[in-house]
Amino acid sequence: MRLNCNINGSQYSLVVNSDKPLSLILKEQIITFGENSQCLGASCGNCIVLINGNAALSCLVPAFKINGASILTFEGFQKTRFCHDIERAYSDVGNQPCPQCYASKTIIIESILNKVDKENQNRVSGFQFGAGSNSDMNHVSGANTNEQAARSRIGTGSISSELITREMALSSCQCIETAELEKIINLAYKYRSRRRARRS
Amino acid sequence: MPEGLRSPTVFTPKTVSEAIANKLKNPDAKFWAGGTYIMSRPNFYPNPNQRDIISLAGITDLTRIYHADRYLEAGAMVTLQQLLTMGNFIFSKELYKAISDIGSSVIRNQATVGGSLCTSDTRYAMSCILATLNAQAEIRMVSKTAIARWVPVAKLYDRKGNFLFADNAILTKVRIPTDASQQFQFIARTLDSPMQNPNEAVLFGLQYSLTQGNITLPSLCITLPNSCFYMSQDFDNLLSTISFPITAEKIYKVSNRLASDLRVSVRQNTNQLQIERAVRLLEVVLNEINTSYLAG
Repeated sequence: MRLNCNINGSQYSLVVNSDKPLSLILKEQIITFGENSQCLGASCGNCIVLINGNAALSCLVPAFKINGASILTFEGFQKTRFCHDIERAYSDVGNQPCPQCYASKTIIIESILNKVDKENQNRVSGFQFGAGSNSDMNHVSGANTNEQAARSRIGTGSISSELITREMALSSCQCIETAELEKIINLAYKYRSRRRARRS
Repeated sequence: MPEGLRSPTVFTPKTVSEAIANKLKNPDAKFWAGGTYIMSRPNFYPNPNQRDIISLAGITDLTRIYHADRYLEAGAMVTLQQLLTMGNFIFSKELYKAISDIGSSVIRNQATVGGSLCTSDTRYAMSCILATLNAQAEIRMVSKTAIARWVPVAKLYDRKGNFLFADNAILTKVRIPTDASQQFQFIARTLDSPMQNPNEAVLFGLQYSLTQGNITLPSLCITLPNSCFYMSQDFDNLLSTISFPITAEKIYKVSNRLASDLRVSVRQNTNQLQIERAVRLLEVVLNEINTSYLAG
């Protein structure tokens, strides 16, 4: 089948098998992609990419689902300002993932930050009321939260360790401790929120 | 494109009837929900015998969630993440946690309710959780006349964990009871990752009610991925004879019975560690219930 997609900002028109995994397509288009991914669908987490802004394991995405999609691999993500927040957090904490899982862990962190951001936006806009004990965030709660007050609180709390452990379980590499990862993610979240506050 | 490899035709029906018509015209085609299970098979690609694909992603009827007083009805193409977001305010804390433990949000965004129930190795915890909760699934048979029926999730599999409606039906909706949380207690445990380590993982679910120290209306489900889907009325009856406080001998007797039942149910070449883990999980859960009973 013929498919058109955008990979790291470049437009591609490809003729591929409709069931070919995205990871193999990317390996052919981007030489450095997925060097550490040999799991062939066993969810090792090393082939993670952003498809239309959402993190997905490229070995589990068939070609027919990416027609018209915008795909960002770590190589493309590295050039964005969002990656700099995470890299800055790595250097501030003084620890970073090993070269084997650096790309995948960075994208997973980005997906956590996106998820938390989205939850916050929903809560502030009043789409979700009465965040209870099930909430992944341990801040910004309450049914009748004043929008301005909620906005001011975003970025001042911390992301729950339960959420971080659950999301990071996708990467099987144990090169970095969970406590360190928590610090990194919370710092990156803080930088991201500050950047957003400055812009708004 | 590799030589000798055929590119499967992808059908994109807009309604369930259209999907069934596609299947009737192409009996070899397979239904495609999220694709997480199909694509994680070791021989998925390249495969010269690849079948055509009927993608269910375009059927809007299958992406709806409906909440009534007593149940939540989710279409088969609702992702686990959507179910979780909706369930945040409806499900009990234990159920919410059990669904969120299935995988990270990256997996949950892609895996669908229907797809996770229609796998032949019961690798997802959804089948175990929903069978324990006595959830029902709507099955549309692939035939020229529209035949739909509601089937308890527990009846979708045989004892070895094989999905019984593999090629002749579409699972369209799942109805999850939400009123049981006031009357019943629900415990779900997962040992090891069923996705990454299916030959050692164990999924355990127990729903019960405790009345004057007696377990009433228990519903136990244990799934060993690649090996067994265990749910037995006889064993549930045995559990209902338990009264708390329970002695160590009684726990030993019950767990021994489970071990012998599981040995009969599992497929050949099953890892003995899985059976051992399932038995120990039951002991741990019974001890936990005992402790909380004694603590009042």
